[in-house]
Amino acid sequence: MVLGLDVQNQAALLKVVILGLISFVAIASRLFSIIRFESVIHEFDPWFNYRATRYLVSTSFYEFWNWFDERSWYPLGRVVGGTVFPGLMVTSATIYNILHALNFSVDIRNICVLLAPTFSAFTAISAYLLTAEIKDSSAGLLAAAFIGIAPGYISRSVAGSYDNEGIAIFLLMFTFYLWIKGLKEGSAFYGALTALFYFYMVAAWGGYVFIINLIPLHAFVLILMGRFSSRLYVAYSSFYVLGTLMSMQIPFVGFQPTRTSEHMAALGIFGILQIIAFVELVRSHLASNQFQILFKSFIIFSFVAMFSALVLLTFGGYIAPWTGRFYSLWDTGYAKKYIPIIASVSEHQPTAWPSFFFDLQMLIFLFPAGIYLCFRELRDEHVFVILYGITASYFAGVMVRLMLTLTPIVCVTAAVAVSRLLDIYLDVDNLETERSVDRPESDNKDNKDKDNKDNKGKHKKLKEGTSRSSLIQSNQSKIFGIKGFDTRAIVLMNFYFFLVIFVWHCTWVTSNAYSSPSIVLASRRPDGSQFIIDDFREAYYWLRKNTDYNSKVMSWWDYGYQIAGMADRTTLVDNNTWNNTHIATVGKAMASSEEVAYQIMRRHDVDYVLVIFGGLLGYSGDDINKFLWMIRIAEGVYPDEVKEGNFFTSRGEYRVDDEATPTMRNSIMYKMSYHNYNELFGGQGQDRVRSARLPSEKIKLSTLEEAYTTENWIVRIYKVKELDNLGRSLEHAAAFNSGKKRRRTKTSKKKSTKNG
Amino acid sequence: MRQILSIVFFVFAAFFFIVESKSTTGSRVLVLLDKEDDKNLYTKFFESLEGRDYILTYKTASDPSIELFSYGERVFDHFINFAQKKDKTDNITPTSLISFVNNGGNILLAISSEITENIRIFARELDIEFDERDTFVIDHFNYNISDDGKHTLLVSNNVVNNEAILSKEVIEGPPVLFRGIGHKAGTVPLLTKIMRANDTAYSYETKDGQVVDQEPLAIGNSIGLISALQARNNARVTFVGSLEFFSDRFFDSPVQKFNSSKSYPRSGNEAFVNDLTKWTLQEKGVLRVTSRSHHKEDEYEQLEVYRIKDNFIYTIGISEYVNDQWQPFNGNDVQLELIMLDPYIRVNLTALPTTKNNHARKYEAHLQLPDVYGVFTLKVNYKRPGYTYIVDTTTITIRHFRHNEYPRYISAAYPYYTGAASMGIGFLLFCFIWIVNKDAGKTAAEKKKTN
Amino acid sequence: MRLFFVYIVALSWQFFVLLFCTIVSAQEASERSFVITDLKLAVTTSDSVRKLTESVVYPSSLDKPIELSQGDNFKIIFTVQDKGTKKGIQPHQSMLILSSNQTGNQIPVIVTVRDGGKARAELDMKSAPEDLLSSPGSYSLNLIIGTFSHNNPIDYHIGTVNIDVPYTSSVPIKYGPKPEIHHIFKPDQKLPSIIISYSFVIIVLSPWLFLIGAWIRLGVNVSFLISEPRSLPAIISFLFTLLAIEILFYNYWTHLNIFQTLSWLSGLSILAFLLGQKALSDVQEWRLKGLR
Repeated sequence: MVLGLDVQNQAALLKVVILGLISFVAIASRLFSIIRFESVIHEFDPWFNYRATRYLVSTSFYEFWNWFDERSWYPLGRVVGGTVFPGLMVTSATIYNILHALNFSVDIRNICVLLAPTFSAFTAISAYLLTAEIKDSSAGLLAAAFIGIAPGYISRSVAGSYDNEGIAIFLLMFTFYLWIKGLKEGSAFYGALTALFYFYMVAAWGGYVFIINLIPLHAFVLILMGRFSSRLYVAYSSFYVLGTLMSMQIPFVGFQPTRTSEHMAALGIFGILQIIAFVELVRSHLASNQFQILFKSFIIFSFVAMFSALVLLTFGGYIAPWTGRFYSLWDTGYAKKYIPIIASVSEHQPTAWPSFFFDLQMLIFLFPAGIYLCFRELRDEHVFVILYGITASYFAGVMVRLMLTLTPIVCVTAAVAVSRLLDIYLDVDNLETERSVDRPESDNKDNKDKDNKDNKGKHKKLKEGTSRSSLIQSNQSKIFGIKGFDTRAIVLMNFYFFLVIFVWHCTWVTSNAYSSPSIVLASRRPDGSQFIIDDFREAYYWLRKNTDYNSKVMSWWDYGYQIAGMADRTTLVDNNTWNNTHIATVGKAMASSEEVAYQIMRRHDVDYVLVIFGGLLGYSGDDINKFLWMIRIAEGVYPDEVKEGNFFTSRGEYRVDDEATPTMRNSIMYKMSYHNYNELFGGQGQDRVRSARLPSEKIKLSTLEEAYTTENWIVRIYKVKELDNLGRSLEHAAAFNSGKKRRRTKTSKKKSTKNG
Repeated sequence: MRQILSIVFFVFAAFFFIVESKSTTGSRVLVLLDKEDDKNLYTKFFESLEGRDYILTYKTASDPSIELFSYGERVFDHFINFAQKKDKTDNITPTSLISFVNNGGNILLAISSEITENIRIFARELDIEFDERDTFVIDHFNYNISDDGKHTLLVSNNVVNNEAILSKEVIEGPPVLFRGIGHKAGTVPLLTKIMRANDTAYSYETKDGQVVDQEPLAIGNSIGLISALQARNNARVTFVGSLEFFSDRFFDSPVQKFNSSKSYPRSGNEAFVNDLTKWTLQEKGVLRVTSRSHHKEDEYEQLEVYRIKDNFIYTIGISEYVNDQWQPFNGNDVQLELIMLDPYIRVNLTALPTTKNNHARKYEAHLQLPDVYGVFTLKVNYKRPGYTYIVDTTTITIRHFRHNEYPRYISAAYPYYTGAASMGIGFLLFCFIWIVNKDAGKTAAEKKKTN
Repeated sequence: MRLFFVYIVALSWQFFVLLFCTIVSAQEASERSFVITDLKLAVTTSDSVRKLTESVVYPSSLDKPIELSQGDNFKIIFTVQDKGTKKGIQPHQSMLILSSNQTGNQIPVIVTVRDGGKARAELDMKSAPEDLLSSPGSYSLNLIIGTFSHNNPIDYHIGTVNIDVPYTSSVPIKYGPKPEIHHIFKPDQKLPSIIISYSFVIIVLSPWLFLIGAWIRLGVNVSFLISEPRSLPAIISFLFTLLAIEILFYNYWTHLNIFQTLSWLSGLSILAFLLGQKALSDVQEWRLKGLR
């Protein structure tokens, strides 16, 4: 008796305390970036989310819902309300409003910065709940600890990384927990709760499609395994009907659940479940041999009918076929060929093998062990874990960013494996006691479940299955029991060491790889002191303070959200790549000569052009390196005017030095990047990214003039000149201003006086 | 000393007389002459300018103190150049003339066959090419009887028919006398050819015993005699290829074309010059936008955001500077464009009637906004030769329907409404029946099974 | 001495003759004019085929237009003479002018005149001025001859020339009113006919027939309403809260927003919960009593 509590309450208290500590660690390990830099929004997309949240907080919910943003995608504008997942913004705004109602005047920025760490604590708790459903609460605690610090998840949820994924992983885990719970108990209440959190997930992240495919897959596999039950029927039907109806309330999703292929599986399973339920009803009233024939023919008929209906509707255009992003999940080369705009994003590239280890460390080795253990038991929820594990690991292999969906299940299975190992090795009692401690718990649970439901024939199989597996288990433990203290100690010490190394690795990765805000760069001086490169913010604040509020800034789409968020100026394209043509137009302007680009810029009322140039500092993520993507995207829309081949030398090289092609040298991107660069060196400039020596001739710009260049030359801003006041071409006017007098249009005539 | 005095005078002028000038852009005029005495050759011209309240500052071309700018500020509003000699002054360079124009100053250049290189370079930037030194515009068909045998004293009435620049009296009045150099004006739309040579003219040297064996710079009606450029900032630059054109002698000279019996006691030069300087110094052909507004058809509030398909009214007020005061503009070809990348709508604005006290005329357009959302520019781009340019842009946002602006009841959806209502009523009824129904025929045990 | 006299006389005579001549010529200057003779035109194609040869007598004009296409060479020769002396002269201005009948543009071709008044001009379409090559159409061909000493210049319309070249000119920008543009609206979405809509309404309502029919067959009654008046208020008010919730949903559809609806709904649902518990526990009581 500790603290006057019995053992059960002590365990409960301990669990709460441990979970609390895990939550604390999960939050704390994500705060590196705040401590290193400052409380600032990171990267690209978070800037839009932050801006949208500010809009939501400063206006009203319905204003946000119908927000037409005229300051992006100029002049087309963007229907933000209809093209955004509002869950994240609404969550922050709700927190903000609650805090302000309680008179905590917290700045909205800090809420946004700290939202992802906070939700990572919730994720840890829901991982605990899920794993506790799958194995037991000690495995749950391990899973919570793993997910709390796994780098694969931290990469998307450090403080300041204010993105959909930050809350979506929590919702994913919690929805799955509720689904397992609902399935286990056959409860419409839990089914409805699943639907509610599914709705929240739909509102928060496009990855909800994973849920709406994985749960039907789970249901389908269970049916195939002959495990149809009224519990499945109740849980799935209540989830699907409510979840679909609710998800359709999000404008961005709209009628997709009834009209796109991604959602058809869920609908199909729903139909199959109804049929099976009906068949079960019929079976209870018919003789079994009659029934077999009827059943088979009915199933075949309905499957054929549904499938052909689906095909017909797809060809008829009522159901949209799979979108490009989904094709790229099957064929990794697809995007590169057909949709360069998707391929150009680095996080859409296939994952490199080392990154699995980098993001998950030892968990990736324990993952198969956990899956194996799930196979050993193979209750309904284990089937789910297996399916989740298989699909997620495939997707994670295809696309880097989907590593995020793999991480939770890896944590869960690894926790199952480790917990199983510890169960065996840490139990100091003899085998008999081990069995008596271990077995009754799970049996009780099973029995309880069965007591709750009316126990019909269809459960027999399941029961047999579990009892058989438990029989094997007990037999095994009899044969392979470990009794020696030294043997146990070696294995346990080993695993203790692994766990310590894991924590150490996670902390190291978080601190070194995932805590950079990417709008502020840090490097080291030769003497080892830190050197902060703050060019981006310098440039954006220059724009904010020195240009007209209605100025339009043209840049490559990567910087659109940041310009809108930090500089508060209108942009032409941004990271929401909804209009490929508009992006291609900007790409075309960048890849064209001054005359062509000037026409485009005038047409789009561009006042400033912003380019990122890393040549001085060796910052490799600059626009010249991204330039080929701009050309490719532009070529996709304007194949006659932009040609990728013209930017490569005859030997197929992409050069910026003396051998650069004329098209390359005439493109305004090249000119803007290297304008006045030679002068900095007093001769030929040296590009440190591409380690090339620039051509020695001076780069002349007549339609653009340099407005601002940041300290390390990373951001260069150019002003687009007005038309010449006197109607000359700008090239001409610039030549005149630099002292060149125009020559006579016609060749000077010679006057000869003839002798008369 | 004189310089200081003149500077003091400017300052005075700038402070006290600027308001009284007839020009809309200011009254300080710099006149550049070859020598001080040349003033006497053009007394009538200068008197007429002074009579219109201009403050004339005469300088000789050799005066080193000439400055168009002082500390970056323009110190004259207009510049009239009569000087022909090779310029010793470095202050009147093509570059300074261009920046004078870019800063809104107006320039009247009288040029003779002794054209200087600076003027030629300046003109070239404006897409006007003057012929070589010592060339004249020669016309064997249209010269005045008082010609000296070189057929260069031209009689011309080939003037532009544009009442924004020249009044009707001048266009239809007696012909003018012109002797000087010709030029060729380019195709820049900012240029207006005010007076051109006749079809038979050509530009060449007039030495004896010479034949034209090289193609002249220009012939016939492509020879410009007087051309003007109105820059995008509305500053006006007028080139007159004849210095004598402004002289008292030409003003008073009778005109009779050779081989023609029609004679006029006085040339049209004075009236022509009067109109030309009025135009160049921004006394006529000046327009301004006095007001603009837009609103929905049944409302009066000007919004920044409209909805697609809204009925929309746009109004703009324009006045014209006529006879030294602002009056309603009388043009009827003002157009409104609604642009997003391309013009979606271009309509002629309806001129509304004005009352006597109005200084501006309202132009109005009723239109239905397109069913495309985005940021649209409402642009009145009124550019007509002779008038100052009006480029008036307003941006409006056209947004999509809000979520609650769609119709609530669509005929096609009646089955759905009925379904919902039927479901609601059915639910209530079922609840009621379930509670109060007494199932008479069955036992409690049987019922348990069915429930 | 005599010789000297003669010499003087001769000199003075010469002087007078010269003086006289000068006076005469000066007088004549006001009346002097030109005459053009032996005017011949020829057009040769690029492969040296002579397409056209004409001779014209001044001052008559050619009836047929001269066709010039790419690569053609147009030649004209004539003699210009002083009308009085019939001597060939070299005028200051001797040009062929092609003036476009469409745009009024004038293109000069210089005529070379030699001492004897022999004049020759050539227009080679290979090296013609850009202005001409870029704007095809009909031009009127005039010969202009003028000089300082002669006061009756000639403007002689020879004929018309059709220039047949591909049209390549770009129209220079001119300020002026532009054609009106009107936006074409997308047609409204087509709705299916109202009859279909109504027939589906009927289909949707048809289950009521089955329901009511089934109820009648099963013998629906409201006997508890009469037999248990004690629980009547709870049942009725429970049903009314349900009705109120449904009315709230209707109002949400017509005019309420989600926040108003949710706040109403939270109140109503608590009420429905309490009343429902009361009503349903009454029902349970009947069942326990074996009334159901």
